[in-house]
Amino acid sequence: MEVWEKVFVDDAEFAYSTHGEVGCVICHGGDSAAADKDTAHAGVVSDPSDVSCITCHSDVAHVNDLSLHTNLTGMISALEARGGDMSEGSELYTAFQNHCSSCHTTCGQCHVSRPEESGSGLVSGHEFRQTPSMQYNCIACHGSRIGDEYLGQNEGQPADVHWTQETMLCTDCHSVALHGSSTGATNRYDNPAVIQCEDCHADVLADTSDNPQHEQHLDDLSCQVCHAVAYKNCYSCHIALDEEGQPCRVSEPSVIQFEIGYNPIQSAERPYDFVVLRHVPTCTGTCDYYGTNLLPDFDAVSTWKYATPHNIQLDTPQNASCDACHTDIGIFLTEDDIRPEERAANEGVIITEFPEPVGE
Amino acid sequence: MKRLALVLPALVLFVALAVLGCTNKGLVGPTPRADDTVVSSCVTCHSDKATLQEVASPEPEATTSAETTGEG
Repeated sequence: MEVWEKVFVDDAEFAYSTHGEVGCVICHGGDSAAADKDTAHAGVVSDPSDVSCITCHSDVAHVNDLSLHTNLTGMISALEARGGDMSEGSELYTAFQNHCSSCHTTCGQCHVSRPEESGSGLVSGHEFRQTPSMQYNCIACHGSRIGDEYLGQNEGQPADVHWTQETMLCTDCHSVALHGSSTGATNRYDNPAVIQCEDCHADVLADTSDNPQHEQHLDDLSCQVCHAVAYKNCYSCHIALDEEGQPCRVSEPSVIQFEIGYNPIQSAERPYDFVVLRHVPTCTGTCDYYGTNLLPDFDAVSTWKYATPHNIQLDTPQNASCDACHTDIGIFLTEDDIRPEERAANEGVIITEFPEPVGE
Repeated sequence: MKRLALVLPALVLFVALAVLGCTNKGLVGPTPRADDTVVSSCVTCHSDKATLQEVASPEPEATTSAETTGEG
């Protein structure tokens, strides 16, 4: 996208819309009466979301500070749980600020423009879109894992049935929860408003009489154990130097795998014993460029995390029959699947007892 | 009769107001505002493709490495 396109208001009628009536300067600053560009743009704030939106949208924006999209608590709490010192000025804090903190969004970067992380630029003139664009907003950041899974862009893996059969958009499931939790969530599942399969598929829970697999496993397996297919796993994200000597974030090529393990976040909302696990990019040396042993309690948190892959199918290889799952040890996370330096961190999720074959 | 003389003009007035109220004149286009010139000083440039292309400045060079990757 060319620089000029990013700020091109392609419909002058915007000036007479509700937001246009407010006037540009109220939100962006600058001098609307100035005749030359530099004077007009003096003091302009390109993304005024932090201070402007709450003026009128306090009903939504008052919890936005608690949104993981805004405050990155999901990432910060994971680093702190590994013993990381995230106090301002620490080595880990500096690493985070330099290489991780750009992965956040604001009101405007969902409802008006593309996220800064994906290059910015107005999505549709300066139109305020109540529903963000799946392509230019959601997938702009969540493309590699969730986007590729959902749209079937991982080689050999089908697209999600919610896309292929219903053309459902991200916001059809993920709506109010995106604006944060009033309780201050520490991860994406730590929010009572987060959508769950049964919110739409209540009939599955209500009557299992015609489905022996549901009858047997609804309580102990997450839905994805039976209805997801292989998904992307990332490894070894760390800071290294590029050819010009600048520190940069690098990782190994991602791997398509399917791994069932013990549930690391068992709760009343997610009571399952067995869940699908995804490997997160973090490794023991993620921030070593900035100092030694910056994650001193690395083993406190598993690197294989509770996952909800977005490539749901009615029929999958593992639910073809009872023994399709019960006799396929390859789909269970074992010690052999885990790198030696991460085995201690994953002790709690490695499968130690395999299901017995049932002969069906 | 007196009552009819009062009711009839009132009825005519009501119908006339209702018809006026139901027209969509206001929806045809934006209503010009008194401070139109002020409003358009930003929009005038930002909705003019040629002007924007002419005055656009190159984006500042990225401070992070071009090799930085990340899979969202």
